[in-house]
Amino acid sequence: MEKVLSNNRKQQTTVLKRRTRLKKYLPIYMLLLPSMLLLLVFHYAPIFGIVIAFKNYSPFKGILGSDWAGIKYFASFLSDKNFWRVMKNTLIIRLYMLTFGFPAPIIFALLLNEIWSNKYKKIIQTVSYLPYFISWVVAAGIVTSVLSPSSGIVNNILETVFKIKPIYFLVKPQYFRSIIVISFIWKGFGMESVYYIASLSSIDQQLYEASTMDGAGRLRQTWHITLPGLRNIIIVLLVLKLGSIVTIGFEQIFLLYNPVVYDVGDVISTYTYRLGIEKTQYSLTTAIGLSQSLVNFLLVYLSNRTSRIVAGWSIW
Amino acid sequence: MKIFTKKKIVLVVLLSILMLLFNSCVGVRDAEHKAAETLSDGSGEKISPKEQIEKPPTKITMFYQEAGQSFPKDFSHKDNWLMKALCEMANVEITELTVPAYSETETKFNLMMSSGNIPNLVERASVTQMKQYGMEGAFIPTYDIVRNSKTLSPKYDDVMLNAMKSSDDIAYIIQSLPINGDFTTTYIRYDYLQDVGLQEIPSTLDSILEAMRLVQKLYPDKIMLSGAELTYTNHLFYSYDAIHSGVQYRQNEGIVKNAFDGENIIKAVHYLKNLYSEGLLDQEFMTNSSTDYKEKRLRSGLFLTQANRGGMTIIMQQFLNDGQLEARLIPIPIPIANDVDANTHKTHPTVLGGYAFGISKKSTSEEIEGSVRFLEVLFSEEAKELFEYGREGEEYEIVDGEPMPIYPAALENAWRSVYGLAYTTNTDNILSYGAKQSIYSSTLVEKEKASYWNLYNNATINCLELQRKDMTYNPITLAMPVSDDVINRAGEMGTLQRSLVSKAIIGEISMDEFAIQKDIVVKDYEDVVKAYNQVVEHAKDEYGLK
Repeated sequence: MEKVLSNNRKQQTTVLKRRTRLKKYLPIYMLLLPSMLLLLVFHYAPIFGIVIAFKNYSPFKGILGSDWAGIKYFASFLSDKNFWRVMKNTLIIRLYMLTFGFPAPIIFALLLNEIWSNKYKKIIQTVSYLPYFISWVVAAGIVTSVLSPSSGIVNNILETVFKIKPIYFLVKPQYFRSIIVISFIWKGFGMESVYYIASLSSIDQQLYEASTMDGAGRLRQTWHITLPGLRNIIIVLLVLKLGSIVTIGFEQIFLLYNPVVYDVGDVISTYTYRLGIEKTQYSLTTAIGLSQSLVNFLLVYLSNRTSRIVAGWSIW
Repeated sequence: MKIFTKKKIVLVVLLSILMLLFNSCVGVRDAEHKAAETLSDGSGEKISPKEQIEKPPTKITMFYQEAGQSFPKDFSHKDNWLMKALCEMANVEITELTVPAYSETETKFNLMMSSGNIPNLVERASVTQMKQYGMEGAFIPTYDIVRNSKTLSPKYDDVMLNAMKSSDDIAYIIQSLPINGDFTTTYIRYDYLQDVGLQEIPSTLDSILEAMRLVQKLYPDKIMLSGAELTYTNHLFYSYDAIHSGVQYRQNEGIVKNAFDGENIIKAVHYLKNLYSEGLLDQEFMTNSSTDYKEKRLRSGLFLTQANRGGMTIIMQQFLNDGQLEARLIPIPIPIANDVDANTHKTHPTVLGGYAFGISKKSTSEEIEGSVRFLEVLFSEEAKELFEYGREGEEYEIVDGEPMPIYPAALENAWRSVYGLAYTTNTDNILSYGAKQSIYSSTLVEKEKASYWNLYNNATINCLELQRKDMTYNPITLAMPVSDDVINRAGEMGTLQRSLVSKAIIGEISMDEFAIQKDIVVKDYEDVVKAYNQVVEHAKDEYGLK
């Protein structure tokens, strides 16, 4: 009896605590509400549409009215050699982006951190952010102009300084992937460095002072203080990037590629665009998209676990 | 722990309910239109436009594609004098009108159709696609609509009605009438020929090449020929009775073949490769966008341009408006290569035009009637006059019994003559009047206007006579759509073909390598050709074509 009363009292206390917490944090929950609604309406609700991958979907019959097709479309794209070609291109380009694009904002943040003058620091930061805000349509135009064999600055320099004949870079398969990776880094490194710059500001300055007294130089300080201080944010961003390893932004590739570089530049997103939008193969492209998401999810999960084992820290 | 598990279950259940709720909303919308479906069989009684005048205008929604022409700044497709006049005649009010930019038409159209939110009246220049969508349930059958219409019925015979059917033997579209008078060919800068002292218009590939070399020497800054990837270079493939990708109906053999089948494609690619090596073909054509190409056409003085007659009326106007009064663009027949055994002047008129109208299955009977009235107006003589000449007293006046343009109104409203909707009617007159208007609206002196018009008109008549001499139907345009799998395979084949042709032209692969690769493509995609031959054979039997 006493035990029952004690349990009842505990439950009442829990409910009371919950109500107090709710009342206390109500404004915050209200602030969160629009984002949650957005997430529910545009991300969770459409999940039901995944069933299109298993149906012979017709927009005029609707999702529920379309006939079942089973795993026909999965079998279809898995047996299509063109799919494996675009998958290979996607993985290669993504790995290049990860290898060169991931350290770039870290290095930039570290270098920026070394600048003493606040005024110059802010100017450089602002200039580095700017490409992030221009659309890929404009960025692709800039890249095309810069690399133009007739009027591009790169070829002008090659011709005048190095006496090399103009190179039509955008139609050379051997340069195309590099162009994609470099333009990707140029557009995004400034904004990405913001995370690292913010983390750097949270590192205790006393650690640096103490290490200076111990005779540590800049490099040692970077290795022993700065990088460990950035460890958590690096892990978070790396895990998230690994989670999109089979996804490349459609716009960049679509605007820059051309028939000569299809072999090396055609990726999953452009492949699904051709099939889904131009050929209206909705079921097939949904099947591809679903498979991509599953692979990405698996990679996020595995990288998070690996991080926990190796670094002792993980996102969840 | 138990509470936490319970919470997870509750969350999952809530999410599932939310998802089902959203999707059932679509079902409700479908249910609402079920009532409309029973009325949407197109067999309701027809009320003539005159009787409708007393009734308020029927509200309808519409999608159509424009014809790629330029529109004035701040132009509104819904709110212009032409659309108002058409709506008034039909006693309709267009509450929503979607007209995507020409280059975005396919994407926007497919997205619209996939959303299920189809306007009452849809017009699209892709007959196969419209037939397919009709068969899948997007549009209502149209046979009775045409046969019961006093305006439409006389214009369509049984052969034409038969040709509008989808593969389930039902017609879901109303196709535009055959477009006579429009053709795609090579346009040449006659003023450049005069500058280099050539009096005769070149008519062979060799003489064109010679002319290009002379002009390039005189004007090293100008570009002789350009493209946007391989677009706008098709005319040079036609010279070899070839196309750069896809499948092709070979008239001489009476079958469909892979575009890479045979030697003609090698000869065509070789010709273009030579042009590229000599610097006569724009060195950056592979990365030109459509906008870049049009800019180069206007600013870099292209010697050769590929265009259709309708588009050329606008292009001529652009040059004249830009102050390039010396520019003389005239059509020449596509020159046939010496060693090609084919008559590429042969044109293939179609039983019907290339534009199709569909009436949405979700329309109410009133909306169907409104859409039909609007269509009847498009096909009427009154609308034809508006498309051709404009409004009397505004865009034209009658002088000695002939319509004469009034400037600047005729020029400012020149978009009406190549309006997407104008292709419901005979276009020969529209195209002729449009070109004359472009020339006579310019700041050229009267003598020069007459000289340019005569030069252009004579060259056009020459092209038309050559093409009309030998006309046969191309059965591939009458054939039923092939299956989705074949469409996918054909799409991938086309991507691969364009890639190989592009690489060969710019020298990324040798011609020997191209020859080897093209044979592999022919072998790998035999199934696509076989599928097309099956539907073409069926079309030939059905229409009694050779």
